[in-house]
Amino acid sequence: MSSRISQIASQLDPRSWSGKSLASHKVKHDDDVVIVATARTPFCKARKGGLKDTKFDLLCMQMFKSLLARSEIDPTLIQDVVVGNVHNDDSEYYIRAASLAAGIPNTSPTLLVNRFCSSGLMAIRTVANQIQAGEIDCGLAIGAESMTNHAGRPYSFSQELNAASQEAQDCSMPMGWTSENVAGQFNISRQKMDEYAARSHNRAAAAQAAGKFDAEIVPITVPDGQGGHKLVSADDGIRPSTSAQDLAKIRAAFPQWAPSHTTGGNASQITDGAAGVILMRRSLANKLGKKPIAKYVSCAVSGLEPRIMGIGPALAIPKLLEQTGVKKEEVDLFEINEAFASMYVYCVEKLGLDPEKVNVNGGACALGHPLGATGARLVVTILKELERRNQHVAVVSMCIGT
Amino acid sequence: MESNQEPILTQDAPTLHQDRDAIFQLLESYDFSDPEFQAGIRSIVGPLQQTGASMDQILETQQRAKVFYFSSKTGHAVSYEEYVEWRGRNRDSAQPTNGQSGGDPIQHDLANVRNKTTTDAATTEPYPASFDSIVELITTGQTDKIPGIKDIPLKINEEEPTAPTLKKPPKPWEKVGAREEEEEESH
Amino acid sequence: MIPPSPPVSRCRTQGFAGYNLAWSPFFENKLAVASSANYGLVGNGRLHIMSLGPGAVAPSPGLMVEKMFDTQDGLYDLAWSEAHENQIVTASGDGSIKLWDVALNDHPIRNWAEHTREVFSVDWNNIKKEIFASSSWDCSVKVWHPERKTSLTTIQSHTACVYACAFSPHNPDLLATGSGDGHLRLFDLRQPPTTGVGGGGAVAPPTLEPVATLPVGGEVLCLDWNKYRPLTVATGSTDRGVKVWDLRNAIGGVGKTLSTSLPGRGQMPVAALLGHEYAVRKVAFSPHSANLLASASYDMTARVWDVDAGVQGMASGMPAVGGSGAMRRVYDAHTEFVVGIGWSLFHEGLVASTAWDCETHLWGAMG
Repeated sequence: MSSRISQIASQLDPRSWSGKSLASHKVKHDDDVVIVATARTPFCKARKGGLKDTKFDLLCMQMFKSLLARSEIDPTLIQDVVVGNVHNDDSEYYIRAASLAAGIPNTSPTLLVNRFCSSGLMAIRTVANQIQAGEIDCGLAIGAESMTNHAGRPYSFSQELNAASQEAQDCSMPMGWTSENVAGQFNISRQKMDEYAARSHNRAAAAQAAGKFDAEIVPITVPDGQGGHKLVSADDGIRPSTSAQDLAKIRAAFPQWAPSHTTGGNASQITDGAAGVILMRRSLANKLGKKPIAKYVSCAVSGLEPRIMGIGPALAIPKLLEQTGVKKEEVDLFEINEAFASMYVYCVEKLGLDPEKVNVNGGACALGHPLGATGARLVVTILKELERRNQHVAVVSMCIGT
Repeated sequence: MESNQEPILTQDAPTLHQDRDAIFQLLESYDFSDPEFQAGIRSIVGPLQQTGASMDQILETQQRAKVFYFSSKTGHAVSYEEYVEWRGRNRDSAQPTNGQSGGDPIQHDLANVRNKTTTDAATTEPYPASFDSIVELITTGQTDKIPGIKDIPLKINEEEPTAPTLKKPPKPWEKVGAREEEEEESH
Repeated sequence: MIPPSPPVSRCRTQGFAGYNLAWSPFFENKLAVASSANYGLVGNGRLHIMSLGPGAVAPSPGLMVEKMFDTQDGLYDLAWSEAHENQIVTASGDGSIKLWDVALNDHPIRNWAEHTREVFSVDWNNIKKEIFASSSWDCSVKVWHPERKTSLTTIQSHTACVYACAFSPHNPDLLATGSGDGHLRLFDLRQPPTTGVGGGGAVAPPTLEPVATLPVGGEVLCLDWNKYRPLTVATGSTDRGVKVWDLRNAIGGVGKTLSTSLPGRGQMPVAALLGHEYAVRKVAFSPHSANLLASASYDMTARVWDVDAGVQGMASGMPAVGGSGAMRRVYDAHTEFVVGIGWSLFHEGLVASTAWDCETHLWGAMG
């Protein structure tokens, strides 16, 4: 009886007037974009961790090889290779060379995309859109970043820009400044930020110990810094027994910007790593006998003031749900990139999300945030978790630098 | 009598509250004595009276006709239900209209009419009046308090079912073909 | 100056919200109404057999209940037999389908209890006159023969509630369905069931796959076939639109879900009739005119549309949106959700509508 009531309520719900709904997305069509393979490298601390001697081009080559091996598909089927990377110099050359060296034929061109921290996500979206447009049937999308090899050159804008717009000028400020702006403007306490960050570490540690990351990581052989090579197979940034009290002892990273709640402990780590997926049209997957791992449904992007850029997911997620007709209650898992605990807290609370459904295996505070790679890593991790739980609907969201 | 007019309720109907007041007042003071309306209303009310329609029905019909006529002539889209609801809210200031005294019986008849509106649906409660009370009882597990539910055990009729006797008449779209054949034969 | 006419006739079914009605194929003045107490949420159902007094159209002594049959759970749909003038089948909230002989009293002559959830729709085959179909919240669609104790066929290929099913009036083997997953599907009952290949090569039990699957938009609550144009179907859905589909291009063979030339895009409807302010609960093509369609909605109105008037935009390849141009009549005398509607087979232009206001109205489509 009460199901009859909710059925009628659902039929009357103005949210259904757009005509879109989760039920309709669940129907399988030959033209759906599906993900048929996922993989990632271990995520290691920049300058100190397992990938510190691995240059960006080698990181890309190993990522491509891992994904090809995982997918067991004929590389000649790949019609485009899209790489998300933010700050590695000359990456446009490296990705092409790496693709060829990995065994992807020269008939597959490469494309570099850069939307700051969401570049990995944008790489996936770019390939998906091409399939949706009917332009290709199969593409490979990765995100990769070697933060060890970031040149760290400062940048500045022309006087004309700075004079024309305060917001333009704001784009030159460091990310930490935006984190403090979010904490200050939205009254996010240091304590809460540390709690969320500690949770990230604890969850990541538990997932690692349970072997969950073994399913998504492909171990890679890389230079060991002493002329030889080594096998790297595990994330090395996680601090297993971190508690909020431990994090509370860490001094503020930005004492010059009030309220100075951001620390090295409650912000994403500087990390090297890569992650990626292979997407194809469902009809091709069926023809090859490849079982789809997931269906790519849609993407929404939002803009806002650069000075509080961290709250971006709180804007983009409702937009995505409205666009697709999927209701918040229908989403099983969320991944919201933990650029800083300040925006992580804000987004979870503002959207009224159940913390048990968000970043369930930890996030960037524990695993690190290789800028261009993270978007793809979130997708890889969330899809593996959906599979473990036998659930069906996932949303991945990130804030973007400017 | 045929009607191929545009419906009164359109999606473009004005929705500002203060505009509505002005429009309803215009309707109240409208002069319905013109011959076109009077001829029309006679052609409707006459047959109603002959078939013994109640006074309520006749008055309501008349009122509806006025609202419709006003809408068509002035271009202000008004529905009868909106007008009645407005009348209910503005009882004291309502002017008596042509050919009608007070209109209370109609008000009473329509007391159960749901408040419909073409405006923003977020402000409309679409559910029937006692729907809410039934929903309440169901969701709080008190279906035993819902009156009138009878126990009707399944029983297959013991009597002998009747036998079919009639040949099924062709459907109208099936007859079209037959008609065409007949016409061809006659040529 | 022609105001909309009041209804030709009204009949009150006190305490029972109307769910759907069906005109007898045999008797020009007989119609049946399936109804439910408490808006169909809980409680009993009642089948009413009504007749229209002598003189048919207005002014008339009106529509009267001749007989009633009570059921344990609400009745959501009904269909007269095309073979037997006294037989009618009903779809119930408890999953049962009952066959009645209206010349008898009180009890049904058959009861089938295969569906495991509410049955929302039953439809009798116009040409194979011993066959009828049902669709249910249990996601299955079944085909039946009145003399058989079990269903002839069960279609298992839906994964969401199937609100509506209807046989083509021209081809007895074609069955269209409307589902809560937002798609209109067409099945050809002549085809053998395919052993499905599930994801990853897992073998699924054999079931009949649709020959066409069209995304409609919203949950598809109702559908009806055009009686004159082959393979033309109208749908009503929760996105508030009434859409008309030409299925001739959509059929791609067993198991193939076809989109159009642009990958990822669904087929466009030949007409999209907008105007209802809430979900559309029922659509019915006229038995007399190829272009007239009636619809019933939660917005408490019933409407009559000229689907051809909504087809101007075809040259640009866009679906035609018919606003006031295609809308011929708004019938707003009901005071609750209008959920059932049907055209008389014998009196052209006469429409019956039934609503949760516990009333069934007869009115002229053109006023």
